[in-house]
Amino acid sequence: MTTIGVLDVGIGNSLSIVGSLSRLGCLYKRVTSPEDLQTVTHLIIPGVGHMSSLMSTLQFTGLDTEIRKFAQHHYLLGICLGFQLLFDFSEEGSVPCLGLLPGRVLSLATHAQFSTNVGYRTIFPNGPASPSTPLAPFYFTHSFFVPPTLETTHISLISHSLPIAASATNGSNIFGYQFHPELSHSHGRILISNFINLK
Amino acid sequence: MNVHHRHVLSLVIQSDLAYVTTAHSCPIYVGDPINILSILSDYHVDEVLIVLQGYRSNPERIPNIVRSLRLTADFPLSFTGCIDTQLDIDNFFHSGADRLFFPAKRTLSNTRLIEYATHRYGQQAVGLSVDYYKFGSRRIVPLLEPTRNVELHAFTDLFNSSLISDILLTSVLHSGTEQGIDFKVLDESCLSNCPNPLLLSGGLGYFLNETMSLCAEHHPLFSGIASSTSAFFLNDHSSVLVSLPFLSNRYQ
Repeated sequence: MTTIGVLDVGIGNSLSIVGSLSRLGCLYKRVTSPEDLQTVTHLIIPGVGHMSSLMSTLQFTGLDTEIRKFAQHHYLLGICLGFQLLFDFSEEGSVPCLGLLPGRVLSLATHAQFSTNVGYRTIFPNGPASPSTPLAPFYFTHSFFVPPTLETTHISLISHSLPIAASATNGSNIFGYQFHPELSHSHGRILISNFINLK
Repeated sequence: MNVHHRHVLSLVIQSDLAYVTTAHSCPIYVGDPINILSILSDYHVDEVLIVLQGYRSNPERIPNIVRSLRLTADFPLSFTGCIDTQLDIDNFFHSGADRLFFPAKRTLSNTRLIEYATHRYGQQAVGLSVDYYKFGSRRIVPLLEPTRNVELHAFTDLFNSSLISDILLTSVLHSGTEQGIDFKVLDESCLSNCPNPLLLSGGLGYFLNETMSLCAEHHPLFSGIASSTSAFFLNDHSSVLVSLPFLSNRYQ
């Protein structure tokens, strides 16, 4: 039986995820401790927050280790900050992250000479074999980014010369979106729905 | 490039009731905020900026209203007003706010609040609102006068501090003339080189699609336009795609 969990540790906009799940008629559980993780099959890590604050909170509660274990056998979705959390290291606070996907989270101010990528952006399938058709616009708001890696499934262009990873996966059970599907109207609702229906 | 400049609608909430504003007139009551956001969700609006007024005497009511709005809207929600303490910041973000806009005038004299907000909730969640014409006591644009204005350095330091994301520039129309955006002032200000996304505000009723393009030409990081939600609610809904041309273009 599927049970959806939403990480709620005081960092991250869990209520925007909850609103999206409610609109889909989906029941959910708040995950605030390692014990809560034992009761869910799918975990969504919401966005909005500072990486060092989130990592220190996860370490304090022991959730960092438990989420790594959870990700070995269950479905995990990271959104925005939650997406960046999946990678090895973040320049936001210079902290190691969960290391579930290879890659580093870099500062836009340092690498792109502007502070924040905010607004609706179309995304494109990554890789030469993929069709070049852009997909519907999704809402991005972030000051740090992940350069495309082998795990990147979709990219977005935030300048003429700077592609970023818009989504990534390990190919089986770990997924991440740099954008906010829960704030992207019906397009985003489809992505959330797809995740909660994974079995 | 795949940039869709956004149109941010502003909605005033006072005593848990929603109001819209029009140029040079009193706010007009338009209904229950939850119903308003439900309607705006149906129309796939880009983003809404909620201006909270009159809650300083009862700040304990803010989390409830923010939470209710968050659970209703499937689009980004920014807030401004009644953000005076770290506890206020926590309450907003714990209740579902995506971004807070801090007034520039107060922030310049004390950056403690935005430092707290940025270091806990991230730079992308912190915006700065600057009233273009009313900043300072002389009703002129201080940003035009770099040599005479001691505050210019404070502004530029703030822009480059990695503490803020969007800058919301209000009253950017030619003051009171309704003659469009004052690009000359914008070009000559220190904002022309700032690294932050720029939202322009000042009466969208007069904006056309071309205005959005002109804005983009004048500022490389032009991010969108903010306007009152009055264009929506003071017309019948059949005219909404005329009032909000950028939305209609996106979904054509």
